[in-house]
Amino acid sequence: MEEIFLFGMLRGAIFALAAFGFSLVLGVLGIVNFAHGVFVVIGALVTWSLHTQFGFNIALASLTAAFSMGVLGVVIQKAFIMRVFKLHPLMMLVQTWGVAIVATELANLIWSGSERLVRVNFPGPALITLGPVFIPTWDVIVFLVSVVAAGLLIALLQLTSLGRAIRACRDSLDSASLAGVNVDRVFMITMGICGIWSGFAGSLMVTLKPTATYMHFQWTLDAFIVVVIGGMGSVAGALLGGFLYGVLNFAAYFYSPNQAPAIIFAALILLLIVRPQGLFGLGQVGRK
Amino acid sequence: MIAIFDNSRFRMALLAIAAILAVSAPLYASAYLERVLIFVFFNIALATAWNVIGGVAGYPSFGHGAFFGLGAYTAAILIVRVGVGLPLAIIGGGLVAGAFALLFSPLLRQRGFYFALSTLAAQFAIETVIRTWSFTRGMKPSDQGWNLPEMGSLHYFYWLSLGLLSLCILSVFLLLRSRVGIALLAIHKDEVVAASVGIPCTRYKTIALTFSAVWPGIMGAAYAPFLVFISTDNVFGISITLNMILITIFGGIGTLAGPIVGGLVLSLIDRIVWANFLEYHALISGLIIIAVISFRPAGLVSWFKKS
Amino acid sequence: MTAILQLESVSRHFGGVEAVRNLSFSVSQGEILGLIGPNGSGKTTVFNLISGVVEPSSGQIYFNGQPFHGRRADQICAAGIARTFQTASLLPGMTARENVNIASLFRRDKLGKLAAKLTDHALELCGLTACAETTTEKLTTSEQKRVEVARAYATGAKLIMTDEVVAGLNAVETDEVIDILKTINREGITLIFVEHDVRAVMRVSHRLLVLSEGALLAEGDPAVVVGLPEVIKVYLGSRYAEAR
Repeated sequence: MEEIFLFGMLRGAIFALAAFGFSLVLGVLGIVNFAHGVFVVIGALVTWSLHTQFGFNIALASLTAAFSMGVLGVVIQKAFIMRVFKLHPLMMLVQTWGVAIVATELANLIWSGSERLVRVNFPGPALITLGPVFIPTWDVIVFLVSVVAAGLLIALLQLTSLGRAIRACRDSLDSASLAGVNVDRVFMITMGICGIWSGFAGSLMVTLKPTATYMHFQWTLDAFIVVVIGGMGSVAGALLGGFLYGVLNFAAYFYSPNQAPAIIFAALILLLIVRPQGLFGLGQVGRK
Repeated sequence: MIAIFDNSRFRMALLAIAAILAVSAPLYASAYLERVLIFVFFNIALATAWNVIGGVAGYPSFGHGAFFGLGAYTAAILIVRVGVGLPLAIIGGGLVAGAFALLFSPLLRQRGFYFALSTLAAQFAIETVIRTWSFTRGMKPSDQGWNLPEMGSLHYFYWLSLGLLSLCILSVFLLLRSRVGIALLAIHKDEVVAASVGIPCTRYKTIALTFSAVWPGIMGAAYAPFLVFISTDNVFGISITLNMILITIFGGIGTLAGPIVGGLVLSLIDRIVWANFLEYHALISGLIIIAVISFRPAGLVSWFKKS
Repeated sequence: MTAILQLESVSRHFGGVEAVRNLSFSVSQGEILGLIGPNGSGKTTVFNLISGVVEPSSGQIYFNGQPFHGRRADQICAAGIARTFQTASLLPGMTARENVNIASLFRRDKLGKLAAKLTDHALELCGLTACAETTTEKLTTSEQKRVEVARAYATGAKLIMTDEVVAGLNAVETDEVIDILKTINREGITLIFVEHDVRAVMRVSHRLLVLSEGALLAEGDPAVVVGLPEVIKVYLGSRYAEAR
């Protein structure tokens, strides 16, 4: 029981990292990005390549991968998203779905569809104990790194003028642009941030579990679920939602691996019907 | 040249020729072509039905494939376990799909992508349950999916699918011209205004969802004996839903002709790609999606309309 | 005269802000009630309370003697209340006729084939016959406002509320709309006329209500009310000076 809670919390930090970008993009641009999971899986695969094939140390590989995903985010935003921004939200969903397919197919040309895993060597014991539970040390290290990354993002949003601009756009696009904020630039930067943090989540994940391109959609769904639980548009909510979902997800797969997806999805639907604003949410965000 | 399509006599003539060709095809077409056409008919019917809730009403359901799978499984269970004939199985498929649509109608309280994602989740949930429940014999190692008996020749299924497709298109045509169609259009354009002039939006949205679910249920029920073997792999899955959506958008979302044109053209492109660029099939599909949305979101039929 | 609408001690707050405080008034069947007040006085909230967009935090609203609680917008329309919208609310891509027709088609007393006739009548009443086949995007502001009125009329409502329906119209267009409203009123339809343009309000209202900071400031004969010192004060004199 404690195991489930602990492991769930550990994994939850990564869910939260992956969900931050999704939440920001939803709040600022008002769109659901079906290609979101692409940042995670390609970030993971780039990390694998840099570390395993090019010998980068793991920290450098992760950061490089994350930033490359940031660049990818900006490219996707400028080339594909802005083109259809004024259209019906359905068009945006389908467009990002198309982008997801193209991105993952191109990724398959490089990495094929197989799963990749990075084994990190580090000094110290392989297992540590937390109370009665044995936990792989690396999981704890990843957790701590995730929390730091989350903290960095929150600091960026709360303490910098860029963060203020992003939050202003999230609260009200009209007010923000009237106040002189360059909305196009904020959109671009938000997508970049989404790419970086989601890519970083992928880099962390690839050291824990085998990751492959086909998993991208599951990551998009997971991010969505976290954001629904925690409340749209709220980064703190995404953090808490991540932990909650981490535990729920782990528990569901632990007790009932076959039915787990159904249980999770049924819970999501119920949540959307009963409390659409999430646990800590600002209400439904987005156009229409 | 484009202008000639505005002439309604020309359109009627075109329709008549197409109808004659379609009905007589089994007499001179190869078995391969017949099979291809059957798949095309199914695709068009599914897209036409999806268009009602996704295109006309403006509630894009990303879980619609579930209704197709439910119809197929209902037919399989009815035919194999209970021993009913095909007509009853088809009706059963439609009824079960409709019942599930009513069950999920509370999801209509949400708009836009919330609706899309929750219907997506609903589809996965349904698929998982069917896959793992022994009563429905999903596809676990110990179970085998469903083997259906031979229920008709290729020609039989050709005319059956063509007949069902025609009924589907006719019913959608009548629906769109009725009060329901006008209500859905108003709801799509501005739900708040629609309600303020007395349109009971929930009722009409539910009608749209149920109607658009019954047809995939019917088609799924006809599909099961055609395929002879069904499992969650070939009648469930996100690709069925995505296909419906892509065909509709490609052809022209919100229009009656859109899914038809889209279905025909995309099937053609599909065949060409499959034959010549198989490894890049998915990549090309993705590129087509991006191209259509970026450059012609109103779909192919917008080329034939006056601007 | 019977009261068609009655508000009893209605309050509505949003978070910490009390938009409407302990408001009570009634509207008589067949009258034209003007409702004015400076920005932030609660006019919009009162409007939304009566048209069912929001619920009262406390107090009761009665329509035709029946309490009003928890009704959906389409039920309120069916009960006999219709409204116009302050910002563009005509359905895009549809003609003026089609816009009015959705009101005629979805009345509870199903008109069926007579719906088209009613639509024609509503269009004629609002001087829209010439532009009936013009689409929303190509209609002038004055025409759009009149389509809104025609649409509200076509629902068969016994009480029509207009929300700044003459905003943005010049003097001639304003008079046009006022004449239309008076004609509608002569058919026995009660009107609540919410407006900033005090001159227009004075021309058309039988009775005038002034709101300030969510509460009722003054009520009575328009000519008298606009002369009251507390009313002039609330408007800082400038608006009344314009109306004069």
